[in-house]
Amino acid sequence: MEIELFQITYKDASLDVERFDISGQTFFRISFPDKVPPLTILRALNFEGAKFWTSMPEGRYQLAEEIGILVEQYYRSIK
Amino acid sequence: MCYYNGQKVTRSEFIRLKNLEKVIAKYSFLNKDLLIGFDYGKSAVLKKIEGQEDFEIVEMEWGFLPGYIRNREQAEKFRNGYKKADGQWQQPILTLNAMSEEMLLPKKMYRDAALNRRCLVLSTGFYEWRHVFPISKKNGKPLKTAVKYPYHIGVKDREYFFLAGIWQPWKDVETGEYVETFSIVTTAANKLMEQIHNSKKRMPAILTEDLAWEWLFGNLDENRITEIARYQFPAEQMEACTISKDFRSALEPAAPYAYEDLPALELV
Repeated sequence: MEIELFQITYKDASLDVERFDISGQTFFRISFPDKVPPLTILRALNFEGAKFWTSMPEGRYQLAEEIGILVEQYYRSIK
Repeated sequence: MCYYNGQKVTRSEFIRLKNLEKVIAKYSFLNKDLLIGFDYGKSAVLKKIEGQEDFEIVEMEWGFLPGYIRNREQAEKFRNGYKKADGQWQQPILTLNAMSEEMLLPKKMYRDAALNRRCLVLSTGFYEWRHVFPISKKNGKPLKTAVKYPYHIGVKDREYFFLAGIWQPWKDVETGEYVETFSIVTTAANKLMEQIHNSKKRMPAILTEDLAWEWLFGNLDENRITEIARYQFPAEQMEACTISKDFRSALEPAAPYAYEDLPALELV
């Protein structure tokens, strides 16, 4: 499994992000510098067919949305 | 309708996400191509979370163990048979499959589970043997001994699908070991499976997405349980191919393998 590593800045902190693919799905795993547990996020489809960022497992939806936007910005910046 | 992390999602997206949760948590556990019932190994099973319209994916032991089996030694005898004190051989009791037509009959060991503990068994495909009786060159009649050809059977355009199952909690009273065991519900073979599993003409109860949902979460009476359990998945939505006879030990058990002497299946 190939893993891509990069960093994003969230609330003045630099966070490590790992990108990996399993079962045809791309995941991003974000590590935090303090005792916050790592977060895994991915893109999913809502009922109307629109994509949204979600945490996996469930429960950290808000953070997934915030971090997901930063991941998108990172990819736009390297194009 | 379902919600995942507060977002309204379709049932199929919900199932996909829940499945991915498990893949992430235990990637190696779902990354198995081949499950052989007689190994009594662990399989991925969707189990309802009580009081919620939600499920968890857990590992269960394939081979239903009723509560009166008190320890692993008895379980071994139950599943494999044993020589009784009088020297007679006690035949094994096979509980890998539960017949949909009989499981709710009074005093059946599966009855309580069928009423109260239904589950879905995740499958990426299953294996079955087709029996072919070669024609004798001497008299032109079929030989008495069949040649057996293995098939891998799946659902077209689906990476995985659901089989109706029932489960039973089981505890070894001596060691305290706790496991959940299950049996796959079977129904009469459809037109495809009649040709492949031609010795018994049975097949697992493959459920559509809606039936799977109902099986897991529905408040069902006995008639409806039997109706769903007896559902015959449409043959035209299934696919089957022959595989190598040593598929059990193959790196890729589901890899197609052609047999020149094997008559083709009739199209369904």
